[in-house]
Amino acid sequence: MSGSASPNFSGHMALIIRWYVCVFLLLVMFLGVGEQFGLSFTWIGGMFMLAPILLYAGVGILCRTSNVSEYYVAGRRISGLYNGMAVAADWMSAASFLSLAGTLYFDGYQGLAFVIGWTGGYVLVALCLAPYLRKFGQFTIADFLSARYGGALPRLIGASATIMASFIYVVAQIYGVGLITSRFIGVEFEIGVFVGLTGILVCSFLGGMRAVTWTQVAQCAILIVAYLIPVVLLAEKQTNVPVPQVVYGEVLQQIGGKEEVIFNDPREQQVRELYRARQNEVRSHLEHLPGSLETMRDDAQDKLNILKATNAPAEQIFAAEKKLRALPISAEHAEREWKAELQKLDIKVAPPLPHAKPFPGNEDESAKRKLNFLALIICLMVGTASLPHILMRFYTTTTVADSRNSVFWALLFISMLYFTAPAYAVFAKWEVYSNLVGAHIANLPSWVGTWSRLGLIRIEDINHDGVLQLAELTLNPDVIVLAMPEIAGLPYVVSGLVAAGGLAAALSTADGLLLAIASALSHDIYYKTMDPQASTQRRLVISKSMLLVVSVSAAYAASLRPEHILFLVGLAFSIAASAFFPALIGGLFWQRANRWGAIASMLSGVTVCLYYCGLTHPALGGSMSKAWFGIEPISSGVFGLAAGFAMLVIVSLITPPPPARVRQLMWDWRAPSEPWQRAAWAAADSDNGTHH
Amino acid sequence: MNIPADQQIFWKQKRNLTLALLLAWAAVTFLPVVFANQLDRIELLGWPLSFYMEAQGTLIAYLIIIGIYAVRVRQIERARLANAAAASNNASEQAS
Repeated sequence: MSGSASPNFSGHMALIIRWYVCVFLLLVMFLGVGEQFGLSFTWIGGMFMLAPILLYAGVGILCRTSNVSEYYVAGRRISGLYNGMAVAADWMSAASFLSLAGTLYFDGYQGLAFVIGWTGGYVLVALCLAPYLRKFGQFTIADFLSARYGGALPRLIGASATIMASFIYVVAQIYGVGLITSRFIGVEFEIGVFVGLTGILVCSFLGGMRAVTWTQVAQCAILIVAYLIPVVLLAEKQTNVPVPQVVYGEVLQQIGGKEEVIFNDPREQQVRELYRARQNEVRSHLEHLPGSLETMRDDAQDKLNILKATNAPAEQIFAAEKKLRALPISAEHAEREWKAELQKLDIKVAPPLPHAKPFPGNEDESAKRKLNFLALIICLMVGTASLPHILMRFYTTTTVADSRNSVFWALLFISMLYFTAPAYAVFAKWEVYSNLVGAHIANLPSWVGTWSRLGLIRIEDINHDGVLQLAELTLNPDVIVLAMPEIAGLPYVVSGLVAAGGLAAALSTADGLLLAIASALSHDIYYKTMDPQASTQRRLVISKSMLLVVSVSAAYAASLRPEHILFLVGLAFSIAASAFFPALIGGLFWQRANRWGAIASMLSGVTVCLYYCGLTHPALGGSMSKAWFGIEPISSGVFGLAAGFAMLVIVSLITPPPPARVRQLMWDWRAPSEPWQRAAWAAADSDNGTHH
Repeated sequence: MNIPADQQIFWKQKRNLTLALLLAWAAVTFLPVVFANQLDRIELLGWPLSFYMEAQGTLIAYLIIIGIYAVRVRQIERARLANAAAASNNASEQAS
């Protein structure tokens, strides 16, 4: 067993990780002092990017292994608490860290569907999945499907769905890495992507799941501290109580009062009218294509000619030339650009929503909002309970009891972030409503300037009164978390810490996802299907080369900067939910579920889910007018889930029942784990490790 | 194939616990959403109750549900293993 560690390895690693986190916090303090003495921002930003990556590389070297069980499931030696931390870091992605607070800022109550959906799934994991999967005790989710339903087909479909859902998700994480590095350290987006990639690879390449687990434990600590510090200090500043999660109720009430004043302000309504006029204009241009584009081009050309003929000042001519060049080059481009603009204007024109009010609007709108809220929480919850990279983590605990405990720890750490995200949104809104709206555009707080230079905040004085109205302000959702340190008037080092936290969130999730994809490719598709005689060494070589190929292609996909990144993440949940959940639950709790039922369920689930997305999402050529019951495409999983369960039941019942051994298997999973079984597992794992 | 009676009893205990907790999970998840407009009129420390439930209350309930499950199943399993050990002791004593 080359590279295998002593039984005390876990305790040893836990100590090292604690040291690492202490050293990191010392570094933060050191940089904070350095900033007071004039250390430049570039240096601070660079240190924050470099230090964690060195840390992860260090863990990777310490945990290097060539043992299969260590590589795929960390030797099944992770205690409940540490596995919980690793699950939490695996789970909290760039979307949770950066975008959740922004979503809550814009959607208010409606955005809380994400908070509920992304936590409630853990109840399903704890009660219905984690302990049984741990008892089963293999390496991947496809392993389970294959053992329960028999044959290569369930395994192959499971592995393909794992790859599909995880790849979409990992592209979004790497994209997040690129955004954070390019904003904070000022490197090119593409360079940021590849620097982040090195951080992921040095760690998972050498040590597989074992290294990833211990890195995630450190990342969990770093990202929670980084998320809490700015908003705790802001709460202290605004309310004198440093517990934002408790005091934001009061601030929420004050926002309610401000909303009434701002929404009814005549100048606010005037601004909305102006946006409505612009929307009508764009709409009529769109209807009269291509003629309208030509008229616009002729007009602009005429204006330019007149200016030139009358010897107007150079800057006026320059502006007119710029305007002419800014016109879309063809009717097709014009159609795309103007449609996008119409969508943006829709937001400007829509009446603003009160933050705390559930399902506002008239009866129809309110019912539709409620239905979508319910559909989204179902999709996110069931998706959480079906994402392979999360479920895989429960194979790594020492005992079955530890797998149950670790779900509790995981949700506890996740809740720290999710309790705080609504507070972020409320404090940011309070700041915007009291210090920005109604202020003179010439003397806005300095953080507005910083972030508008980076394009995350846009201000347009459409009614030319020199005063900012709410509708004239456009915020990128990510800015809520990124700008919080500056809003609270904190030194730059705290911004650096937030960037390090965001990087930890994105990298930890990317690590887990890449490992899930590499396992599906090397373990399920190569070893179990193509070459069951492959030696241990060969399997690890295949796994590592898959890791390299997948991560480079994910980084390449991210560097193309795909649009609709948040929608893609939502889609990953819907795909995972429709593909896995019926087959997993049926496999664990319904003896009559058989191979054909499972195959039909997985295939129909994914097909219905993707079909509905294509039907309704504008980016895929669909439109919401074709929607069923008005459900948004992000929740397409509810239909996939329904189809999956229906097919599982129908097809299982019309085909022969599964063989008798399935009944024995299912009872084995239900039995309590007896102490002697641990020894048997250990023997089985070391067998896996010694076959050369 | 016969499943031993004590194993079936153990599974029944665990299954009933799971079903009860799943019911609680469904209730705390869906009821506050369905009755959001009614809860909106009640206030708790500054929060409208509907907002508070979705932002914090339901999360706390989830933690409690998972905690109860972990503790209760551990108790049930320990009792079952102790029973099994006692039974096998008895059997070996009778045999000797």
